[in-house]
Amino acid sequence: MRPLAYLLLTVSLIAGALAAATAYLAPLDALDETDLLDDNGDAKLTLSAPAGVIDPRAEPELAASITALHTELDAARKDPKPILLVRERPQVELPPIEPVETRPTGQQVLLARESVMPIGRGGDPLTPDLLAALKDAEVESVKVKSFDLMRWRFAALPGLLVFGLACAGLLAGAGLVRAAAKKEIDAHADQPSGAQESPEQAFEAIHAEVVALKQALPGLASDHERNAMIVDRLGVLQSEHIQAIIDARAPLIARLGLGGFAEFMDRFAAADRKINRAWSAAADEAFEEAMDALEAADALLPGAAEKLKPRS
Amino acid sequence: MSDGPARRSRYREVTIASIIFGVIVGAIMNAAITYAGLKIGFTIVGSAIAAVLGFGVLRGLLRKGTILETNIGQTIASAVNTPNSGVIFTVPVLLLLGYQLRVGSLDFWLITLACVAGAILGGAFIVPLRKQMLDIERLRFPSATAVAAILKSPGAGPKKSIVLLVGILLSALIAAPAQLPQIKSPAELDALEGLVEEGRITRGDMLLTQQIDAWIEAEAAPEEVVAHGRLAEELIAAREANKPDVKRDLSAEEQRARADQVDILEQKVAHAADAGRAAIQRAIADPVDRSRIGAYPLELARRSADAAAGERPWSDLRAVAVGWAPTAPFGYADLQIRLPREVDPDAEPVDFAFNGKGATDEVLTERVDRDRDGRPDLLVTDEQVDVGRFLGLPAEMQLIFAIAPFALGAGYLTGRAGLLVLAGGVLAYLVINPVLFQAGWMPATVSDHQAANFGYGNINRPLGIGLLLGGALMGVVASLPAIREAFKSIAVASAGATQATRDELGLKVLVVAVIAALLLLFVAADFTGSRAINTICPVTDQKVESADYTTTYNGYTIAFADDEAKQAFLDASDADQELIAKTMSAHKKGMLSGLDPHLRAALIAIIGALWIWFAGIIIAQCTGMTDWSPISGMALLTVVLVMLLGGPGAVLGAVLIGAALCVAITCAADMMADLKTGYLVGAMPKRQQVVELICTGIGPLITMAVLLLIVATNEQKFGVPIGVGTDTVAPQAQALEAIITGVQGGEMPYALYGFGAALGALLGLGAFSGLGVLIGLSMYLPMIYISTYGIGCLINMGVSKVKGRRWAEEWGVPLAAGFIVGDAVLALGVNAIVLLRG
Repeated sequence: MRPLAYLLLTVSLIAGALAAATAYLAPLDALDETDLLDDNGDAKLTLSAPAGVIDPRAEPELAASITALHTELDAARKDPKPILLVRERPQVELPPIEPVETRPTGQQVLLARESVMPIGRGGDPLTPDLLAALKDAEVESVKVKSFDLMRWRFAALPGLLVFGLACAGLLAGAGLVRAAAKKEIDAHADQPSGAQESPEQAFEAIHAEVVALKQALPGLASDHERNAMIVDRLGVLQSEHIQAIIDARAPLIARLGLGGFAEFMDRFAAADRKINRAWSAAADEAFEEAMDALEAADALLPGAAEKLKPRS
Repeated sequence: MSDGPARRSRYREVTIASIIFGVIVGAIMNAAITYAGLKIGFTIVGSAIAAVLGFGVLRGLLRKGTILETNIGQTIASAVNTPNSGVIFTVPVLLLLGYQLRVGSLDFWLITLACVAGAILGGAFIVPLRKQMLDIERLRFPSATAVAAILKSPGAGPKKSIVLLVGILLSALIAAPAQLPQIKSPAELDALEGLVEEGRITRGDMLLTQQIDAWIEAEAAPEEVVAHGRLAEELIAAREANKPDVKRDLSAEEQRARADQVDILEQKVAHAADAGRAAIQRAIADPVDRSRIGAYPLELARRSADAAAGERPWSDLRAVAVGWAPTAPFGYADLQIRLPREVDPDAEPVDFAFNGKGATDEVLTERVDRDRDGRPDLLVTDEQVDVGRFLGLPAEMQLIFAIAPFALGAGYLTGRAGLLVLAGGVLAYLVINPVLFQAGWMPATVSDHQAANFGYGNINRPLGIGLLLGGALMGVVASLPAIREAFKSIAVASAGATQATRDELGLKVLVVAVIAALLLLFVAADFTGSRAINTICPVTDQKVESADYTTTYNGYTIAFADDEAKQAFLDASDADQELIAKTMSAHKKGMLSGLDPHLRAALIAIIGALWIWFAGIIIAQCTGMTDWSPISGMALLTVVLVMLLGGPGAVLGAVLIGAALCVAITCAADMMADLKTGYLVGAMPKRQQVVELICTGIGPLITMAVLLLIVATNEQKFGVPIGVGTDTVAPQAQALEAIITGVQGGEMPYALYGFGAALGALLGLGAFSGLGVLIGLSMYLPMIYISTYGIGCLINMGVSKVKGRRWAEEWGVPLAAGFIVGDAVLALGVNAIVLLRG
């Protein structure tokens, strides 16, 4: 079930992302010249990216007409400073610079040769003339600044429909993943694998090791030996049994619920941190501190064990 | 039991030595990284470096540092260093927009206050979530795990220490050819041809260098260049004399004369620069070579003028800063691994012969020569390997690997979970962008090899931010039981109930932090809310030099150059006023514009505080799961949010709250990472939290002081405070400036954020609530780092399968930690050298 769920999630995510990516595209076939202008005669839509290209060397006449259109669009923009109080700027008489003869480099020639001219520029208002020029060049859609649910198309389908289906797919995929996870945990609970340590076994092993360590330490001759034993045995404890509890997150949540799991981990982590402290102190040859931390861990572990039991 | 003296010695944890060490190391790193961040655009957290230094100083020199004492040292050092990224991502944008930051200005102190508050609040807000993220969720925090591995290495036995050391050395060896080429020095004349051939410098660089050498030899530069330098010096002096605080006491006529002088000199300098360039071009015989000479650095003109006046030796012109061609230590690009030549048989020949040895007039296909310089492109540059082009993938697919051992190490430490990040990157760069390109949904001006970059900026990033938001929201909802449990546990701690909970900082801290946050943000928002939104008079186009002539429009304060200009605006028709206001984006109201200014400031403060808390969770989750954090994305959203509330003209307030948030979330992530390290070495959370909260406020003060110093130097040296034309281009602030103008121009893709959020939230409904965050993060980040990071994850999985998980942890973690440390130490060293060389 899991592969199917992940496949569904992946496909839905791709579909959703692609549909979202088309949100700002305005399909030109759906636009009518009469829809373009508002009551004041201003364009309703503004391009947010260049649209359509021509090769100015291959089509010089078309390039000239596009340039004229651009000039017209620029001129139509309203003067942003209708009451500009121009302060006289001091003008300096500067000698002309003698021109230097230059010729373009190969790279400049090549880049100029391969450059294209956009029909619509980013920031241009989509006027009827511009729309006509774009349609003549068989441009299918343009990227605009504003989003409109009614205009949103993904290929031939309504964008909202595709996005909605993608969301439904994600929802179904999430449901399948959850169901698969639950099934696996149930199966694991019915037939626990012999190779893997259960959280209870790991927890008991931790507690037993802490107690055994505390009992073994007085028998050693020096603090140095005691510290070395703490470092060695807690090192193994950390990498084996504690890791087994951390790895058992999913089955523990399934059994205890997220709240119960949080309660258990909250208490277990307090003991775990004391074990880490004991290790650090022992590594620093601070035996008393290591012993205090071990005692504290020992005192905290029963509280965690209580929370590991299923609630009645 | 003990064989030592009976009196028990205290186990060293929080000590004076560790505090002094942390503050000094943090301050040095903060200053160095602030400069480097403004120059190159990214910063280093520095915990790993501080941990290594901590061993050297506390254990090596002072001979008494314990693991936990060194941990406190690195905690403080990173707390002092970390806030710099939040400041330099945001505050410089004000300078780019024309605001002035001076010690005497209120704006400077408001922003500094906001950043200090942000640093403390970020840490305080995240304190209650420690239990949920570390104890319950067990987030990995790869770099924090690496720091713990470093701290534990002496106790873990000599073999592991050797593995860590091998990791550091290996990492430095791998990273050296990627980073050392940043250290530039003037090239030898006889090496110039070779450097052109390798593509290290252009032929134009070589020609200019040869000319400079000739000037040094002759002890004379073209008089046009010398004149340019003198005029530039005069202009800088005139600008200094024209500053409002300098000419405040002069008569109106004298003030006008100074402004006129600046105007005149600006025209003369522009003319002199053209004349200087023409003089250099004239000294070159070949007309094609002449067109290779572009605008030369202003520093060349200034030093030439000084040398001509006998104020410095002519040999000072032999410097990279003046345009002398640079050479650098060995880099991967020197391997010259290029694509095979592929001639376009249909293309008309172009004369490339003058470009260097081996170049011909044959035109190569764009597939192998994207920059059209007549040579096949490099597959391996100093910083990256283009595997996609090597494999012959379609150009619209991007598969590039950064040569970044830290990313490899972080990936290894994350392990299997990090594969989701790789999956998101593959989805974005190998599926979504190519499909959009092939379907014709990208602008026709975007060519196939530009599709990845266009997709990244216009689709992946906004969608990724949305996914992050939705994913994080779902993560918070899914974790509510765990958060409730964590809060319950901390509430018990406040009463000092048990051994376990006595180690925690209580909920009182959160309450104090919330109140402080609201108060400070309210003060900042209230002050900035009443300040003028413009620095240039909208009627005269002159710089506004006093706050005496203001009026209110649409809830904004607009300033004018003088009373006449103000009156002209007030007398204008409504339509004309709207057109004028449009130039400052004051024609649109914010959602809260209609409210009383104080009430508006209060609401912005409340929403800002809530946002800081939520963004802190997002950043801490991202860092915890992957080691990456989308700080700039969160800064962007904050600025957008405040501009939506206060109105698109309210830039100062938006940047101020953006700066506070940015600092807060970086400090939140740092606090959580330090607590993770502390957990792994058994530190007491309360002690770490207290020292971090006390010391973190120092960070923004240092960063702001360094920023002021840089601004003052730039103004003196280049005539502009920061950005293009200076040594500190502030790339992140430029990106934020683009966002601000985007909001003002109505170009923000809000729908993409929304759709992304929906997808992110739904992804989080499955078995793993962090899925939306991971996929969003991978779409937000550039592919080059994700791919290298993914390799690290795969190596971990492979090693675990072959050698077993315990072996992979025991030996792989110190090696991966070494990779992170080695890369970071080398980066800091390279930055320090670059900094010292000016």
